[in-house]
Amino acid sequence: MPRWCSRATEIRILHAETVITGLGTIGPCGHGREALAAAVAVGKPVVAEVDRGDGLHREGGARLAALVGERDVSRWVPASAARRMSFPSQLVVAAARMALAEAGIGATEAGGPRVGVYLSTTFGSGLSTEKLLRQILLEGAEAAQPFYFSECVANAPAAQLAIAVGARGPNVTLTQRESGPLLAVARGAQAVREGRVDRALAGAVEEITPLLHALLDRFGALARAGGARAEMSRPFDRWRDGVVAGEGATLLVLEREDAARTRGARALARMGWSGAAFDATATVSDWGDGYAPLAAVLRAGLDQTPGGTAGIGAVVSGASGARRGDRLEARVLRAAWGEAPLPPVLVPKAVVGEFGGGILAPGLLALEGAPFGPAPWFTEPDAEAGVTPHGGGARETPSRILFTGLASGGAAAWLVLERAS
Amino acid sequence: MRAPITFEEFVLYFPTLSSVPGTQINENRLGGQAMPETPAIRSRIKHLLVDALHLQGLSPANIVDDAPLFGAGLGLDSVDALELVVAIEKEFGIRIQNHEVGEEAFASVSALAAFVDGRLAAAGNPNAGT
Amino acid sequence: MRGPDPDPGAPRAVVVTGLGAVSPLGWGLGSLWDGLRSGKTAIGPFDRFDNSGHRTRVAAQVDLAAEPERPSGKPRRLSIADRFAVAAAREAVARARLNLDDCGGRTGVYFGSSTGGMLETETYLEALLAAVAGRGRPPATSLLASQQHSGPGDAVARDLGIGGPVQTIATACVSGAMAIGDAVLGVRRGEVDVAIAGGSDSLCRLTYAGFNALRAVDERPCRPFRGDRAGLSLGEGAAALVLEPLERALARGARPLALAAGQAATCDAHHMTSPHPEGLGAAAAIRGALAEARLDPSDIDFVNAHGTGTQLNDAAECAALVAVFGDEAKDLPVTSTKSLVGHLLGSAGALEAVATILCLLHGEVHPMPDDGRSDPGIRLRLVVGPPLRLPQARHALSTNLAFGGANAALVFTRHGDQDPAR
Repeated sequence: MPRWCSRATEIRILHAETVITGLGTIGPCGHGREALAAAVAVGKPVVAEVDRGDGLHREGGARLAALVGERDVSRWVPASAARRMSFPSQLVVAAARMALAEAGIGATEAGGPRVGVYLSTTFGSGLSTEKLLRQILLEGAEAAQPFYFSECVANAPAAQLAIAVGARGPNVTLTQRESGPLLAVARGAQAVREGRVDRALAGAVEEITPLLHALLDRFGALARAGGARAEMSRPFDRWRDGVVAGEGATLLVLEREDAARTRGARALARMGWSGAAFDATATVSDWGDGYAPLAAVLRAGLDQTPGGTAGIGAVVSGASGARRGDRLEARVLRAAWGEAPLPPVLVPKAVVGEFGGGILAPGLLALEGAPFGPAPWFTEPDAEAGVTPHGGGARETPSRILFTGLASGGAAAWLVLERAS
Repeated sequence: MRAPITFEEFVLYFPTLSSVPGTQINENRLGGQAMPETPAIRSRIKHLLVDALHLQGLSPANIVDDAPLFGAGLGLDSVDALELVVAIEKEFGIRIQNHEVGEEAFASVSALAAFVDGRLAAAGNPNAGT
Repeated sequence: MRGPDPDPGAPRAVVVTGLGAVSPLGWGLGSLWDGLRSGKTAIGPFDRFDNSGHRTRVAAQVDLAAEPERPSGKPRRLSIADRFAVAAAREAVARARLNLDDCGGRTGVYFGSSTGGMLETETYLEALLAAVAGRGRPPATSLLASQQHSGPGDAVARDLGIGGPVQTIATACVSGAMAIGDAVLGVRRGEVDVAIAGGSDSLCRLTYAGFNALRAVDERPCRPFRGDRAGLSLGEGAAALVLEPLERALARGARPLALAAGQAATCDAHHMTSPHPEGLGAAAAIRGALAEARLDPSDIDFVNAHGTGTQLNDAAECAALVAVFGDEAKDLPVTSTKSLVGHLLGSAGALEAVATILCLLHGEVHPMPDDGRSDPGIRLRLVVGPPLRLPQARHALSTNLAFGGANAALVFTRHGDQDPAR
């Protein structure tokens, strides 16, 4: 068989020379890594009641979401600039400036033609889209406001970030659902490694509005209260029944390891293997069951990572409580590890919700030894899924972690980070 | 935030203004006569500016009638101009054509008020002249 | 004149071996090329949705009644943007004679979209708002199934049984071009053996009203680069390209249509809706693509410009072309596919790349309608009226400039000279 058409799945890309030097994150737990670390140490979902005053929610549906509580980001984004930014744009600029500050990169050095932006979002600015659609549908098309249109496009936050820091390199917005955040980081890292940019600002953002929440619930994606069960995201649990929507933004600064060293910057982590694949058995909006080919890609990638599967100290899983999603995730992990036991499987989305790149920041914290708390939402294992998430307690600080991101619709992405010594 | 643009830049940036080279803004469009005082209209426009353009921290009372809207004062740009157009259309129930949005009508609150008043009067609207 | 000679430092050669398109000019590559040659615009009255309350009344619409075959799976759940994408991708794969049973596991999909299933979402929301107000029943949630930007690309991947990486870029008007760029990079670095790249978007109320709110839409079919241009026209459709390494194509007996010689992407970082007036970011993207292609500006035989027809875009883009091509800009044949099919937003870059390759293969630059008067400030050699015969054309540039300031440039080099649309 010609080497081009090999069925054997192969390693994707090694990023040995790219490091993360800054992390900025704003989410339901608060602003910055300390607030997030405190929340994941406790392990309880950080949720609030969604405003159902519009009457668009269905009776008996989901009521909660992991919302950003403190919406004032004026510390990072002056009011005069925020005036023309949607909330996601403000979150992205704020998180990016937070990350740049940690990386020790000043405002005058933050931009230029060699700085790229790689951002993932699922819904863009839901509020801008909603307001625009309400104007069009209820008041007439001529009532449409220009500001809402310019902010409702998916790439608005990435464009605002470019303007804010002067980033004139590639400006990429990926919209690949639950796989998007990992793809964005991988693409940013590739751009650095392959020399198209010197620095990449990569991450994800999401905004959850009442309307979006109502639509997700009507579509059946969200967890709901029922009987004795509270409304919660229960990754891998036998009684899981959907996700809890979450919002926030996480931005990472990626650069070449030698450049970071020259600058005297501390590397938070080093990029390892990244890979992506697709499960064609998926349906338009759900997960499929083609775990074997996905596991083969994952296994092949890990086999080329030092230590193989045994070298992964923790899995930072994208599992979020979706029935078929978590089942597929569990089967992929089990098949990739084969007979060997899985390392601790962390499930940050139980705390921070689905969407918005929620696992990126917790994963970095895990790499730094942050404790992950018990799983009060977990009731019993699911024999069909066969993975039990980490339930708190002592855990070795991993030197290498695996992020997973299986998307509804079929896409899959994985990312390995290792501690930079 | 970008530096406020000069009036010349506003003319260049605003798509409709430079769309028809050689077309002058017709002064006669304003009726070719002295316009009556329009204090209520002016006040409503100032509120629109603050609300529609999210100019937090600025009180409508502090906006000077004859000060330039675009440029050094409020630092508005072409999208702000378009926002204002939509807001004015809604507020006063008038329709503004692309070619009517011009340097004259948008020069200041006073000019805008006069433009709106002229349109209301032409439509026989009782709010004209207020 | 330097060309893509064997050069140890040159990037691995990636070629296009298949093309597919669904456009307002028809379903399929043949209708696209026939329409492009004719120079007759497809922009006119449309009924994708009720446009009576909008500020303008024209757009370029795909004739849904002419859809050749519906994709498999639950058709109710696929948006029309998904259907355009699947049809275009199937055509490209068929024309490439690609056997996905063999290499689907090592094939990736790199797509672009700006609104995904927004049209269907609007319909859903309108009905939901009415139902909540006591008028009518709640709408079927299946309308929401493919709401997201990833809808078309994922639909293609599921339809073709893809196993490699799948991604959708939603960077407004450069999404399709960036998707192709990412596909080229993916093939070069070996993350896939074959890439299916493209884009898809349908007309929808949001973008139609939104661009009108910016007063950026012409009441008449757009007239790119003309002196009395008054805005853009919206369009819809999808395009797909099959890309693979040159050696692989030759080894399996496929006919390379063109070399994807260079790609680059930049950002103006200037303004959310207006391009940099001197087109600095666009010029940088063009230079980047040329550099990757190891070509000089003088090697470019014609340009498929972004050319939306707005005052600002066309002036900025012209400035960018003059900055890069200097004195030669005034002799550089420039056309804009948007004059004939409108602005396809997320799939514009992909459809225009297909149009560019067709022009290279046929040795002919498609024209724009001879509508409007010339702009003394636009000193380019616009192709207006009849097609421009350029049988010796080897290298072409396709450019895109997006809302939010992103820019993308692609350079294609002709390879082979059979007629691909038969």
